[in-house]
Amino acid sequence: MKRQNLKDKLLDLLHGNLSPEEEEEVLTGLEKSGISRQDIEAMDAVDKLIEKTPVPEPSDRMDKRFHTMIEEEKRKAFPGNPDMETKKISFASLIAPGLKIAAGIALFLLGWFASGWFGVSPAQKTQIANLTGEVRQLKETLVLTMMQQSSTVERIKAVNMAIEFDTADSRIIESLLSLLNHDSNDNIRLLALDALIRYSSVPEVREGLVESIGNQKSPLVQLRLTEIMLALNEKSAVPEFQKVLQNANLNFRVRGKMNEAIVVLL
Amino acid sequence: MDDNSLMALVIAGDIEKVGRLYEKYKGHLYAYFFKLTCGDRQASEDLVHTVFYRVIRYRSGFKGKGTFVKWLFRIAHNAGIDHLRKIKNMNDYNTEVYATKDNITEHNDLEKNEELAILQDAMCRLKPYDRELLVLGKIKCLRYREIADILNISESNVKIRIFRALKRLKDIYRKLEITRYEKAKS
Repeated sequence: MKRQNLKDKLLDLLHGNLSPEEEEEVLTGLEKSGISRQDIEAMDAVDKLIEKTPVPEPSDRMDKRFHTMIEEEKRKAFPGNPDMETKKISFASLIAPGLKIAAGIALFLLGWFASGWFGVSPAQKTQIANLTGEVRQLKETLVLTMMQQSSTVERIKAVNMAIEFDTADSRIIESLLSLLNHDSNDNIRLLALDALIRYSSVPEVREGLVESIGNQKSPLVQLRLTEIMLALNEKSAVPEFQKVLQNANLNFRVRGKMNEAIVVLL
Repeated sequence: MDDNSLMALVIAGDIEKVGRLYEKYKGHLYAYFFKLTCGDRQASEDLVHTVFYRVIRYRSGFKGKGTFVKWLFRIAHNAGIDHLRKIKNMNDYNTEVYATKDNITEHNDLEKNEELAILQDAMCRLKPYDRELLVLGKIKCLRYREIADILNISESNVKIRIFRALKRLKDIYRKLEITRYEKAKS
């Protein structure tokens, strides 16, 4: 057996990943280097013991320190308004009074059915599932409507609500992409971008993000989009960056960042 | 959401998302430092904190090339080196921390299992680099390819060095076993 092959198979020998023939071959090779079969057995025993080494649980203090650090970092990032980043706008505070009552009834019914979940019939379970779906649909419709509003505040609220969805349907994604590409307000574009990253595993979202590179004029949005493409290792963004770089008036920071991204992604 | 997407959010300013990564990896990191520092709980907690502090501070340095866990353990490796250097300079680095009475009584499991006590003693007598290799090799979320990148050596080299470190550990273990046996006999 060649020396390199032998080296590569040493740990496989200990982990029992070799066929009997390979094992014999490696052991013979090792014996030539002065390592006996007994040595290997002893090493195997020690190796297994390492895995059994107990590690105590870290104290609560470690978690507390971490959360304090996060709070401090958030304050540093948003010195004027410490709550800005984390401010979550509740669903209830956003909806009109009429809709509030409807949503309240739906939630009450949902809770009432859920409380007797184990005793309910399959038909009732279907009803509960339908109700849950309806509540979600209601919320989605509201978000989509708010995204179309002329008021900046309403659109910000809509994007914040979209962030709360665990999964987004194609209509929400389409609307977020539309905000990212066409909204007149840079802050909303940035918010839409942050909302979209949550669904970056969806191919349409990735494609949409790549396509939007060429649509952006704000250096802030361009920079963040470039950083995101890097973090997602999105190689298909390279041709888009190259197109944008042809613009002689491009912000010098954006130019630097995009050039750096191309080198990393290629 | 995968680690890289979470990091994309962190880079974009959603710093709170580091919390998800912290919850996922704090146990792995704590175990790594606990074994690297020979059971120093306080230092291990401080080092986990240092790692996540650096993750936030240098977040834009994450380029998404390779996995997040590799980048994270690269930071952890550097933090561990800094710590061991500091200890060495302070000249109070006790390579037998595990063997002290307080530490052993702290872990009842060790009292019950002499084999483990000897192993931990032996681990602490290894050179830190060997110890780190063995510890990294046991971290479930890391592959040899990633360990190679963290340590800036080839994958083949990782395997051969782990094998050699294991051989050295086995030799120390055997010596300690004999010493204990002879002490018990006398």
